[in-house]
Amino acid sequence: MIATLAALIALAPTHVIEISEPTDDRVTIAAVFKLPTLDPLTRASADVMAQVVTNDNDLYTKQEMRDLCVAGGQPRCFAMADHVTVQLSVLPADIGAGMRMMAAMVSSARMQLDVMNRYLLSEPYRHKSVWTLGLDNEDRAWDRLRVTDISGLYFTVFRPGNMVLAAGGALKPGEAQAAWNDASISWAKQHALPLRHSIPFKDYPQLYPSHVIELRGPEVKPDDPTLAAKMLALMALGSGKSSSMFQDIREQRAMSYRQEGVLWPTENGFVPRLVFQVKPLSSDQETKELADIKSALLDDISKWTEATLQRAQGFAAATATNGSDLSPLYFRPSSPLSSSIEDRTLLTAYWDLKTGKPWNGDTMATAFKAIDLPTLKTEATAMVKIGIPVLHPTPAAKT
Amino acid sequence: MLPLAVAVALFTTQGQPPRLRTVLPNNSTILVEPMPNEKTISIQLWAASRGVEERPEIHGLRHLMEHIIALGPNRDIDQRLETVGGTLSARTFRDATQIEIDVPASQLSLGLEAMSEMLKPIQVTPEQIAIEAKIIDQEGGLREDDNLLNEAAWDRAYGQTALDPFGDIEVIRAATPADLEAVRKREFIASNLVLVVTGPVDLDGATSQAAQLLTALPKTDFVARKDRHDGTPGDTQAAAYGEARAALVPGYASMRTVCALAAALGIGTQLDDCYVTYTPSLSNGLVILGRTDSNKGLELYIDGLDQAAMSGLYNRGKALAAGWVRRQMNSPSGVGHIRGLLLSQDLGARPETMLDSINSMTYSQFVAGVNLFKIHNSISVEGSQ
Repeated sequence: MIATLAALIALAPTHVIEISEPTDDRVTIAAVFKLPTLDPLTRASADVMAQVVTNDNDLYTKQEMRDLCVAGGQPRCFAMADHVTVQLSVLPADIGAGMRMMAAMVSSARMQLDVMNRYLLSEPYRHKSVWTLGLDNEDRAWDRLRVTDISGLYFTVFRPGNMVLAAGGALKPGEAQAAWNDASISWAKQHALPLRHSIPFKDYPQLYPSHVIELRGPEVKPDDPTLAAKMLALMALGSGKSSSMFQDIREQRAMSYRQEGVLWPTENGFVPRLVFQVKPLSSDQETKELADIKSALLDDISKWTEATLQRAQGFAAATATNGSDLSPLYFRPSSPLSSSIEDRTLLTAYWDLKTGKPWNGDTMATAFKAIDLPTLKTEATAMVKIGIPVLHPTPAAKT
Repeated sequence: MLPLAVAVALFTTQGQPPRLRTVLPNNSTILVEPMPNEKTISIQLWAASRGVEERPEIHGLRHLMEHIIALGPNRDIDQRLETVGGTLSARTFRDATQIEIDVPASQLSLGLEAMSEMLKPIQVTPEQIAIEAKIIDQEGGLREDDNLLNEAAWDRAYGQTALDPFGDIEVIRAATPADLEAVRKREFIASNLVLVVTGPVDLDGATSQAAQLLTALPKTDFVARKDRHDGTPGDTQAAAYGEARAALVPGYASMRTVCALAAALGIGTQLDDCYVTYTPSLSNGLVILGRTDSNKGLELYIDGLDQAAMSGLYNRGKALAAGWVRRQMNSPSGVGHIRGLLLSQDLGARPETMLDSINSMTYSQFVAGVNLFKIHNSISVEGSQ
């Protein structure tokens, strides 16, 4: 009896978190999978795997999937340090096809050598913005990859029990769940293969004459009771034009055009990062400027008032409930999650994977509202004081 | 009673019209479009660049002015907006300057009050200009490859009649407060201004409130638009990675333009990591198709396209072009952007005209659109890196 029950639980279909937006013109489906601990080899494998996923599988060709999706909603897959997201958007009437595409991508992707090779011939040499390079500076051992590294990771990651699935847009209640149940019925449990590990090999020279400098805070666990306070401190320091970083680094020093508070995912939690871009200075100058900035931020924090708290809470509440282009939530490469239905669906699924509960904007806004000024100042001060300076210089030339 | 010279309901339905365009007696324009299910109101002020188009001696002053105006006269607007979850941003285009304020549903009055401060004379010191010039210089360091490829194409196609709105950093550094105020006075005249309010608002109430912002401005006559000359095809290089092809197109609603857009979007589905850039304009412009990861893939593909391949792209390109237009009308910010950009150029301009052209596009017209990207008809940009 117990064995039967266990088997039934194991075979139960994945719960689909549904976000109903009746006036939308599409349905976005986002599946988020937890990644194992990554080293340079598995980090590179994850990037190549993300390319393989959106190419041909046993049910669809890449072109068929593009044709079935709405404009701009073709299948996308990307890997971060802690997770892989697979996402697509279809017309509301095509939700069944959307779920079938999703199930096929995560269960029967064809390990096409030409797809892997094409990516490996371009990605290590791709020119990325200095901002992107500064944010994601994880090493990838491109030159050590084998096909089995990628297929091994694929079967390790894409398992029903390792997934959070969300659907957002013009949905009727239960519709997405029914479509997924139907689409995934033959998704058998994958057998995880042992992963091979390796060491990093090189950096990728780029051209932009800019540096990205950051103060990187200590890692925060997803269940840390002070997470909301730390997020609010990050926004007070680095989100919006009234933030301390904007006011000091941009408006006072004219040192930088772009400066942001970034909540960056790590394998076991998040890292708060205060990041800004500058044209290169000498090493001594940059060290001195950073020390000055640190000191100025600490001085600014000491002068924060209830108005500062209210500004941060207002900004944070809007970001939590509706998204924002200035959000600190960098849960995909290069840019924060915005207010689009695609991004809100991704956030819902990702937060569930990370914390065990789907993102709830109202709950988060309430948590931000409960934080008082002394707590905000304490968290912000610690973030700046403990923050480790990290310089991401632009390599001199491209090879 | 609201002093309305003309009130035009652009579309009629059973109840209220979906949007109301109002031309005030001073020739400024207001457009209000209620979107009751949205959570955010977008308030966008568009100032046409008519009369102050970029030319070498003032190249970049509009960009600098945009930075200064967005700070607000008392430097406290952002604090007030962000406290209620609002934001303020500004952008400089060739054909217009945009200031956008987005606020939660209950904050229309605050948003309009903040916008009213954007209309005040510029009060800035030389020291503050020097700071903003440094910030713009830093902004230049963040320009990405697609932007650099695009600007090379514009330069090759239209030269000094379509200078890059980013500007010349030396002109920006040399600017004085008087220079900036002179540019503002010429660009922010009533007849150049369009104020768009979209989101969960009442049509009449929002129109009345928005009118109060602009009604006190002195009346001005409409300034004639300086159309860009016909561009010429050719090759150029950009100090960037990648490659691009740009189709020379007339105004936004012409069949040639929408066919080029459909062709670019259709071709873009055939190769990984392509981008398509088109900024709707009533004047001559460019539809640009590029990629920033490698050279010689895109251009070879375009020049090798035959009838069989093009027939496969026709329906896809047409659907993508229609989707591109519709997608921009899905959110308050998007509606404010596309309608404001077009209205600031011509009071009769509207995105639906593009949709009509796209829907009536025939296969042979689409093929003509694809041919605009072929080597002898287009601007070919090669990344030099």
